[in-house]
Amino acid sequence: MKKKVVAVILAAALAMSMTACGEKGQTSEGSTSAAASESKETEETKESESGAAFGAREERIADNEVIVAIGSEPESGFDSTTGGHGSITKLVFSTMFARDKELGWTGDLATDYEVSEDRLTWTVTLRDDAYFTDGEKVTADDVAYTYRTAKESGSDIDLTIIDSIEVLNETQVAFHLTRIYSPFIERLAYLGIVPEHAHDENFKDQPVGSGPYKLVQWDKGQQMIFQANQEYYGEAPKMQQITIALLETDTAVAALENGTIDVAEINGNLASKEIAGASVIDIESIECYGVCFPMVPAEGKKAEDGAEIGNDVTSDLAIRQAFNRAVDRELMVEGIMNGYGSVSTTGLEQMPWLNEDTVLDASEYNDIEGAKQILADAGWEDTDGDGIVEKDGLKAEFPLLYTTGKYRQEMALEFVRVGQEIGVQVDLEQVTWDTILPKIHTSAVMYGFGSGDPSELYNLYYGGMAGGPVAWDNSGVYANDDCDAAIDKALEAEDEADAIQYWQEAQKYASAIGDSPYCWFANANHVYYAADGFSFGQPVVQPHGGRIFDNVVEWTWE
Amino acid sequence: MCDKKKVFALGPREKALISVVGFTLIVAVVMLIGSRIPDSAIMTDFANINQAPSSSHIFGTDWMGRDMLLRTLKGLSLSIWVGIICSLSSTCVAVIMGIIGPVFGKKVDAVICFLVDLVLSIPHTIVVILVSIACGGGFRGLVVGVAITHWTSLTRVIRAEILQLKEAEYIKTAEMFGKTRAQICVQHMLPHIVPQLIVGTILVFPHAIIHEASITFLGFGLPSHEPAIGIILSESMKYLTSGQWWLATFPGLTLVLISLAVSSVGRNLEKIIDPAAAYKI
Repeated sequence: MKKKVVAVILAAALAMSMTACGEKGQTSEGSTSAAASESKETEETKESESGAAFGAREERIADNEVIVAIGSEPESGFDSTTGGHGSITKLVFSTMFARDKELGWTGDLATDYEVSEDRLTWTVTLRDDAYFTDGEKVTADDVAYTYRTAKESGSDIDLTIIDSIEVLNETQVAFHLTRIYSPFIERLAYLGIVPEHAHDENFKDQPVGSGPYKLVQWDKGQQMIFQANQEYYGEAPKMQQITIALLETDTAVAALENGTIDVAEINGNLASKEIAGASVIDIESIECYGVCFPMVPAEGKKAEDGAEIGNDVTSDLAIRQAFNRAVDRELMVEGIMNGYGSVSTTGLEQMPWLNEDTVLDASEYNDIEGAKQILADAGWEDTDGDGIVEKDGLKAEFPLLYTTGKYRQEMALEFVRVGQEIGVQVDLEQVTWDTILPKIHTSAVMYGFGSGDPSELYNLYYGGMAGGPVAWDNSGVYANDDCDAAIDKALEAEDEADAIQYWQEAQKYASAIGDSPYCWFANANHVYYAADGFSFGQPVVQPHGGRIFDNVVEWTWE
Repeated sequence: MCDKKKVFALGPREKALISVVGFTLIVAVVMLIGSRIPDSAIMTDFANINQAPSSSHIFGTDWMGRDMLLRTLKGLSLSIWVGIICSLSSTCVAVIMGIIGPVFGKKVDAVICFLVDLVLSIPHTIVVILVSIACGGGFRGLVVGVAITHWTSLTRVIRAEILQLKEAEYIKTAEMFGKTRAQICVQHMLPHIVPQLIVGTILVFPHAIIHEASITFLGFGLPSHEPAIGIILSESMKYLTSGQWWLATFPGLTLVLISLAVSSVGRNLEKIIDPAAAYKI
């Protein structure tokens, strides 16, 4: 009897555990089938919408409206005093200056600027006819307020160079600097001016600016709708409404195919796909990818944030030169970018301040034998037959960190392959920009740069930048006195034009013909699919992150 | 004639034995081959990108020209490793929990039942994601995450078995002879549950590798340059719209086949070694 009871209990327990299992299986199956039917539904609605959408595109063209899948929503909202949000700022806000189409300068809110005799005070004159979309005039007070607030909030744009800001009159504002800094005009070009009277806690969701468009609706994670600002002081925007749809690249391409959207930002390797009624717009850029090497040996030094510094392998010049010699940039452009890019060996191609002498020509890279020779001459030899070279008992092996992002993984893997061919082992590691910090000065890092400003040379190669508050500025801890001296001269020059000669001098050291702190690969073009008839006008030079919205007033349906 | 029949007409026991040996061999071979493929074999090769399956690349190549067959095998061997580690560690946890619950009194038992219910009541995927992030991600996070979510069902089985054993005559006799609880557990109870243990361990395995694949698919497991099946599948999503069906099809199929193979090993082994089931065949 007892046995029977136990058996029943046992059976019940078993049954329970089994039903638990069964239920789990069922729910997961049930949920997948629910998900499947849901996706089916959305597909159906998509299809039925797409029928309408094709008509809608005609309507949009007639009404001068466009839906684009370009860029992302600013994480911290549209408040330019707390964070830079790249090109999208230019939709809503005006900046003081802007880059023109040849990487020169042009005024936006500013009409003129003057640098004092001692080069420590920059006085900017503003235009008189600019109004915020709430009707108030843009004054020097707003400019001063914006810069003061941004400086205090520690926004992405580094403003520590500003000592104080002085409002001279309604249209003139003076910036007093802590040191002479010829590229200061850059700092005046990326910060959108906010109205002092309307800058409250709701501002980031309902921004008020003086730019060509105003934000009328923001469905977070879905879309942002901008309408033309009829009172805009500059060239009148041609598009009456721009909707930014927040879609993943492949979803965006599908949406473009069925006519739901009109323009999609894509990767080069998607561009070979044929889409009826749409074509590829290929815009050259100066967004450059490359690998930064730790330049000093590991001697126990630490950066400001406590991260260790140095790598014994990459601090050997021969290793860095060998990679610069070996990497096949053409292959990267063709294989990874599907041809939508261009070779770069300096990270500065197309820029007015490029030193042409530092550019490697096609015979100076993709040369595996040459690279091996460089290593052999420097005493690196494979003594134990494992295919990896050694020197004084040190194995040629170093880590390479990469983050997710377009082309990065592919380039990093190609770099690893090249390393293997020349006998250097590269250990690939995937990181995020947070987890990278403790290892950033001891590992080679895959970067994308290309700001379109000469001060980038200061950020990347100036000895004093290393180990500072921005970990990825000169993360390899490169320090060459001659290079630093040239950069100092450039910073202290009269203006950007005068500084160019010194920027070019600095490149003699900080390039593949010099100390090879980087191994640059290629510039990635910015590629878009656009519905036939859509035109970006003539975009400005596109840096890393893009400046596609900089000429948004020129966007049009032809 | 009669002899011939005897050779070919296998009994259910032989069939079960053959399938156990066969499938175990397949899984072992996949694991061995996969772990012997050097990293250099799956390097980028931009001369051969996006190739459809052919005789030189049976599973085709991806957008970096890497051979999908080699990547799949390497991914499978990684999955099998995860499966082995997870099922063994789950079994250890399940044995300890399942035995001490009933043996060491109602309070301990209640705590263990609560733990089982707790883990079962939260969807596995979420727990695995949370745990693997908390453990710093990567291979370690993944293994820990999968291991600590898969011990529950086996614990229940063992606990039920032990509950029944506790009432058995020979256990009571042992108690009367003054054996300690620990001695009874190890000497008398543990041998009794070995068949369930072996089968349970093997049946956790397919669960573990499918979970591993799904977590990596969602991007919470291994870094994206590693050749794991989940990563291969999630990469392939980007290229499905451009018609590269082979990127998902073959790796997905092989994952299912390996899971089925292991599952079948478990079921057939149960037929052979479990006294409650063995007499039926």
